[in-house]
Amino acid sequence: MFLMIDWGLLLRILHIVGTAIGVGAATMLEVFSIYFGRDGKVDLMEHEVLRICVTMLRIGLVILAFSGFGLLVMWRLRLLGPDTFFAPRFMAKITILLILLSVAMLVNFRLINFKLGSAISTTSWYAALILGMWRKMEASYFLIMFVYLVFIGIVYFSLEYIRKIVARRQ
Amino acid sequence: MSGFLVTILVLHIFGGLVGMIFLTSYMLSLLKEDADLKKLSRISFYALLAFLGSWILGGYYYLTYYGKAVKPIITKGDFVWVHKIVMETKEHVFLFLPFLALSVFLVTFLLPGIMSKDKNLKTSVAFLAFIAQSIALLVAVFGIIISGAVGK
Repeated sequence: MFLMIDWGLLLRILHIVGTAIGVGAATMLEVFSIYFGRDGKVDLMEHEVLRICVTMLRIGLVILAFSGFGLLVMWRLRLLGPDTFFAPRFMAKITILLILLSVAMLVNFRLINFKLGSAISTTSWYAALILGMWRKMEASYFLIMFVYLVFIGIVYFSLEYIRKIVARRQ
Repeated sequence: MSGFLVTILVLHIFGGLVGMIFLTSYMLSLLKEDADLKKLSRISFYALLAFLGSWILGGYYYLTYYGKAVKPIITKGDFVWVHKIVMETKEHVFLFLPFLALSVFLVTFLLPGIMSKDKNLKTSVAFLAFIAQSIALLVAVFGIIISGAVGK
């Protein structure tokens, strides 16, 4: 029975669940932090809501990491080799996940501006989602990373604009 | 590859990931004002166990399988540098991991009183955990690159 499980399918489902939780939590964290921060202070209840979002974000990341490495083991056993492992889309995804992890650390130790870290985190989650889903993408690694960097800028300034609008309505 | 070696490989990766998660949890909690050092010493012990398990299993896989079955495929292909640079670096850098995790655990377990008062010591131990975490992450990325060089 144990061996009859379709591990590939199970891991793909877990990978999608991890991504969905991560993207959802990153989005809600952004929405709530803008909404709660409009009066310039975060009360106890608001802090709890943000803490739950951060916990969900971490749970998503853990599921994503375990299922991702599980899928990599399956690729390795099938000897898929350089065509799969060194494909620009996959390399870009790994790079973006490493950036996501590094930024999470830097934000935690307050070594990077929170708003910039937040924009990078949100963009990275959506980039990982898009790169995972868009299987027929045929772009070079550098083009994907360039577009990702451009989107970090767009997301950062868009969030700043939304923060100003929300604060003005307060 | 036999079912036994597949299990060894999977557990080696699993142990490394679990170790990284515990170490991350340790780092995130250590610098808090009200850090619970008793709990943190437990977490660092789990990280040590996970890295040690991954270390032994990875070492077994490397000694019994990699050299005779994987290395020849890589060195005959277009990615010889993956063995010569990436694997050579991985197999040496990875030796440090359990010892770094052991140091983090021993300081937290033996000196909780000093750690709770001395902010510099706390920061230094957090930095040590950060170095161990970075090495673990680097080893994981190297593992992906090495797996990628093994094709049909």
